[in-house]
Amino acid sequence: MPIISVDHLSKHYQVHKKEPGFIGSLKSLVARKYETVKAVDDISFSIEEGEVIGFIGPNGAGKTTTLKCLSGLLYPTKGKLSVMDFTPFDRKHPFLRQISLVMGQKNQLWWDLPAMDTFLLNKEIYQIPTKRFSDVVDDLSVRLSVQDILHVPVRKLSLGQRMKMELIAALLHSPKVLFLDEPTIGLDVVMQKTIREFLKEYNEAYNATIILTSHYMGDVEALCKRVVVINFGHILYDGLLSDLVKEHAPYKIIKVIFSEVVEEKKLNEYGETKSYVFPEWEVRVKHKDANDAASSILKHLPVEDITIENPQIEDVIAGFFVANKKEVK
Amino acid sequence: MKRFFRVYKILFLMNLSVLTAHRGAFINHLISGTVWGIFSFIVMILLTYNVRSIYSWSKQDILLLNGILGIILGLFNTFFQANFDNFPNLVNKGKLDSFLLKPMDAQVLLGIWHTKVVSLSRALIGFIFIFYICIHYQISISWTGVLLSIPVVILGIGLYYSIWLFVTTLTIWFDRATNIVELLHSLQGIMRIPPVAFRELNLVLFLVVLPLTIVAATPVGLFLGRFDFGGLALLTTVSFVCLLLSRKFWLLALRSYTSASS
Amino acid sequence: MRYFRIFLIHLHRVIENRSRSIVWTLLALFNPLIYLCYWLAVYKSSGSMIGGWSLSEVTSYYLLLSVAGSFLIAHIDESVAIEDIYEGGLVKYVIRPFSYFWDLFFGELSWRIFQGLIGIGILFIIGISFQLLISFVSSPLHIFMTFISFLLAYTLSFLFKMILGFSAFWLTEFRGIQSSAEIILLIFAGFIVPLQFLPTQIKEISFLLPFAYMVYFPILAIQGRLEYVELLGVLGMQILWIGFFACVYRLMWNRGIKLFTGVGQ
Repeated sequence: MPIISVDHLSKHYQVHKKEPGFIGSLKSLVARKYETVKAVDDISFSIEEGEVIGFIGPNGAGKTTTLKCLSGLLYPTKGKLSVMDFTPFDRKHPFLRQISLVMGQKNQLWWDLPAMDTFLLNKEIYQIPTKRFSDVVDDLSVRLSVQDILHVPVRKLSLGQRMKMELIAALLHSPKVLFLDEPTIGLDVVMQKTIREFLKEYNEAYNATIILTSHYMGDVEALCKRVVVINFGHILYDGLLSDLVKEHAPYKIIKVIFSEVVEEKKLNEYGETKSYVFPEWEVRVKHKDANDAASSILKHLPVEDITIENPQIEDVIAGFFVANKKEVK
Repeated sequence: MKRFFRVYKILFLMNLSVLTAHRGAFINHLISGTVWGIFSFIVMILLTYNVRSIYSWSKQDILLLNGILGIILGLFNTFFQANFDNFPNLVNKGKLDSFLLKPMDAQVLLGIWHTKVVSLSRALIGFIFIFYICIHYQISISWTGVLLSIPVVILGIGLYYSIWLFVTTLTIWFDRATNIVELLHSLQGIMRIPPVAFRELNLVLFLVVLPLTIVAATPVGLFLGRFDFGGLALLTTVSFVCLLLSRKFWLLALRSYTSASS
Repeated sequence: MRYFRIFLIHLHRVIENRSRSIVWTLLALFNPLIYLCYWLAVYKSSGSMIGGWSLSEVTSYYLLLSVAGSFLIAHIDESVAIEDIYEGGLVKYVIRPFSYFWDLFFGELSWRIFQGLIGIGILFIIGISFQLLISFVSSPLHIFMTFISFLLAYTLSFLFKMILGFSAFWLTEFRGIQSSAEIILLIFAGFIVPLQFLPTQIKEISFLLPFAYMVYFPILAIQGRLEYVELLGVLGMQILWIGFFACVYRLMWNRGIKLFTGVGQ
């Protein structure tokens, strides 16, 4: 029985359109024209307990809208939603006690007070028993290495430290379902890695179901086996990330460093040259031909160094979007 | 109920901590609140300078009305005003999300989130003004009436709360009209004037202003030992009806909440 | 020409933010109308003349006040203090090759005109619904001088509010001084009661201060209650106060801009 079930979900907004210029402004004063924007349009999927799913798509694709519908913030225009057998928009307290929504740019910590004060407030709101509260705070603060700054006013913390405190505040009540909207946005690479490792550990330790949206493919690669690709409010792909890569990037990249100059036209017989600036050469070859191509290059060309790599996930996804471009109706 | 008080206690202490963390802002708010409190009485003194009465309301009654209003506004400002003032900003910036996702009634949580203790100065000024009026005009007040007026003042605050809830909820649809709170502040002027002053208006307008006119006017009679059962019944009915309707309106509005993007 | 362009751009913005504009207009209308209800009841219950004014004169005054507030009182102080000075928005003005003062002057004018016109529309509806009569000045010279006094009144209030906003160069908390100024303006510009109704000493002080020339006297002018000589006197006082405020503005700008650090930009 899936823990999350989405059945033909749609969310439409009315957006006002104004003609340009002063006359357009005067016209809109009296009679405004509205257009329906289909942020999410007839999507269906289900998620099992304990899964970590990545929602990927460009800006305006409908990722955050889907998350907000699932958490109960938005009232769906059409469709049925079920999260842990609850209808999210009813926002029943037993439902809210089991979910958490973390948005990278929005915060719940009180700016002038230490994070611990907000934790204590959440303890009362979520009715967390004192012993469990202490255990969770101790556990999470050690995992995120913030034990020493729990009593420092939030305004004095760095962005990365604040994000860690936001995560703790969101996880105090040990939610079964976690919705994360761009959790690593604006963080440096070290902090991003820390957050990813933490989320992975949290998922393993608590068997929490995690739905994550992110523009950083590093987040998705590190955490998610399964991805849902969404654009213009439609699901374009729902399956394993590895299958997506195999299907839409049936090639490998061979990187070569030459010891001597080689004519460019000589290189074309080995594959599709991505770039060649002596001494570095990048060539794209089909998956199945990668080993043979590499041997041939080593045999016939003055090679100093050679590596075979998979394509960047970002490139794969970008290519996938281009191939599946749909016009907005 | 116990849980509500536990949450409220923590929020109250957090608000006190924030207040004491910024001494300059604390003093600034205290002075500002006091100055506006005093100004509201100066306004009534100016308005009644050349006036002896308005129908059955004497000058002293009108001034007493404003003293009681000062107490009501002082208490309302302390417990609710900051939350209502901040509400359009919460909607506009999508910060209402964290309130809606807590396992506690969002309307209640929003209502108790901020407490502005410095605003009690306005209530204190109200008390001082009533004391001054009673001595200056040699008014004898009924102590039974004063005690009975306490629940009536609470009803008045409830009515005023529901009016604020109605109007600020509109920002869920009109999220650019964040200055709507200024409009409500300006409507306080209606509460300063005896309800009889509005009987010249047509019925529709009178019904619109009626809830505001009775917020502070009803306890005045009790203070002076005049028991107006009709007025009390009206205030009680209107308060409960407005509280119920404002709650329904709030729940309806949440369906249209679009949660501004980050 | 470019200031006309600036004016039009701001007018666009005003129309785009129509719900905010309507709320600001209603704000300017409400209090005078509430006070009008009060005075109607006072007159009907007690007498035909109060403070030397008849009911129709008081009615006319408050109805005009409700529109004059929208036209004449600038609301620029808060954005100057908070957005431009505290939040550093002034940076984008000082690097441009045109005057900060005139940019804001014409920008604010668009808000005043838009809200004033809405106010006139609402006033017209109220006047017809309640059959209320407003007396207006009628002679062409009077109309011209009244129009000049309106322009000068707007300029005076704009300068005053700019100076108020500039206090943010020196103060870390602007709201305190803003509240105090608002209170003084409400009393001495005639927003609460016509200045004629004030106790004698306070009335005389109010006629010396600039606030009466922002709202009270322009309203008397449009009502036709001022003779030519009195009207000339009003114009003279407006020009004197504009001159004084212009000097204070210049002084505060020259000193304040040296302290400005552009924090947040």
